[in-house]
Amino acid sequence: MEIKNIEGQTEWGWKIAAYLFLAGVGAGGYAAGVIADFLHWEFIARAGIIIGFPLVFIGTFFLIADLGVKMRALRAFMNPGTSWIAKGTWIISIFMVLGFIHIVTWFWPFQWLEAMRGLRLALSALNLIFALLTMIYTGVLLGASRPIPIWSTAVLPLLFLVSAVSTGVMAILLLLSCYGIGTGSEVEASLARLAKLDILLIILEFIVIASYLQATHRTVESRAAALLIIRGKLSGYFWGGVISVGLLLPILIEIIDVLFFKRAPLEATIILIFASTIPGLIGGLLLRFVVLAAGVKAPLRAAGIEYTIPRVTL
Amino acid sequence: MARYGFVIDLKKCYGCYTCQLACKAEHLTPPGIFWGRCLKGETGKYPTAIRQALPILCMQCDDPECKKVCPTKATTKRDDGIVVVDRKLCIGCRYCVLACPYGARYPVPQYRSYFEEHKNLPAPLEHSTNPFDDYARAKWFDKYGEGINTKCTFCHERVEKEMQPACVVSCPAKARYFGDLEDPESEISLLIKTQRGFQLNPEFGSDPAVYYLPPR
Repeated sequence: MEIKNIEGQTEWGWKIAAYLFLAGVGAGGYAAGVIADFLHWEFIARAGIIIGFPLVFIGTFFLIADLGVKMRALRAFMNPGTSWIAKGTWIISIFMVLGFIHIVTWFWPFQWLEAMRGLRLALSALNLIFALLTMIYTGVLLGASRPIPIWSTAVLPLLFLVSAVSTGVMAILLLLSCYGIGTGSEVEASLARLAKLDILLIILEFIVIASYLQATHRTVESRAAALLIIRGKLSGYFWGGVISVGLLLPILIEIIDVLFFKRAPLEATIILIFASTIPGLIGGLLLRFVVLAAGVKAPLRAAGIEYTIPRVTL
Repeated sequence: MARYGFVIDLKKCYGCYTCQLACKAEHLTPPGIFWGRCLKGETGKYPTAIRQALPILCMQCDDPECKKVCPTKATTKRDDGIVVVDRKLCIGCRYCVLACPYGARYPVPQYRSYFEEHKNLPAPLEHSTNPFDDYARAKWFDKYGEGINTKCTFCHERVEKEMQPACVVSCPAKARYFGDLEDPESEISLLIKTQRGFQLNPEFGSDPAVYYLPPR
């Protein structure tokens, strides 16, 4: 039986999508930066670590703006252990504090921390855990809403993780290519390395999105939500935004770029990389929006009749 | 201590929306907010099509999903089983709206009046509201306010005065029964036992306090 008048939730809209996106890019970029730091890839490390704290910090303003009573935002700290919002508040706060410390190690009077590589790496390793939690908890947070089966799946945290790392790498590429256009060849090797990594991440994201939508066939309402994404109101955002602009366009540009990296003039390759990151980031934002907007609630069932729960319209 | 509950007889309910309006009249809820409401569903094909009403309200679950996701412990369950929101603690994150399987949660981002269009009318209606509107607004801000989440409370102010909830009193079909689920001799316990009473969507395991009697 198909549900009539399927509508996704509208309680959490574009502000939450913007937060999910910014937290993903920030934490994903930071994680990539820290791993690059372990591998002594100087440019990537710096670019990644520098976007971590600011992006998540901007994201929290979207969260606060979405609250009904904004003055009480700090109350979300009071009961860690209860809700995933409370747990998440602590996770992103610790991530931001450690990320901020990591950035200030480049400036006086904290440069002694930068000099002690062991201590810095310990700090990075600790914050890498919180970066991963920041990327993953958002999927678990949505999954805790049990009446919305398209969110209550183990694939969603994985999807958010892969998308976060992929968009984080794109943000690093964006930053490095901007730097590269100004200063010439210094970032060449870093760009080539990251572009190859990003191609793999985009392929992985394709696979995860496919398995996410494939896993929806079990219940009527999650199938309805998947149809909303593939054929319904959200299909334009999904096929046009997430798939074409967000994944196909960047991967095509990056493949061309990697294939002709040695032969083409350097400026051209840097500009191509720059051009691939912007649509990729837009796609990451739209992916969060599509997942949120597809939140179809399970209908009420009484005596063999299904009743769609009316959307709250205020 | 009692555990308050409802029985709604779907055989008797003819979907007249009186419960929905009685709730509005009792609590003076702003437009778009229906703590109690009546849904209509249909099944079957032409000669045997069936249309059935389903009145819903907050199910006052024993293990509420909304309480589990509340980050500030604003949602609590009282000893009598009624789930209430503390207006001083709620931050308006609307997580509970998404987590409630029964659509019983209503956020109030901003208070809206039923009479807002009067503002655009020419004189002599230049006053922004009318006495009823002023009363309703004052009453709402006295008890609830803006930005927070609100929900059906089984009319606990009435129940504490030994009165029945507004929707029960007003139901012209006498399809609604209010009582104590823990007392095995109460009217609702007997109805549930003898007439195959069931809960909506038991798969969520939250053990609602609202039971329905089958429509046929």
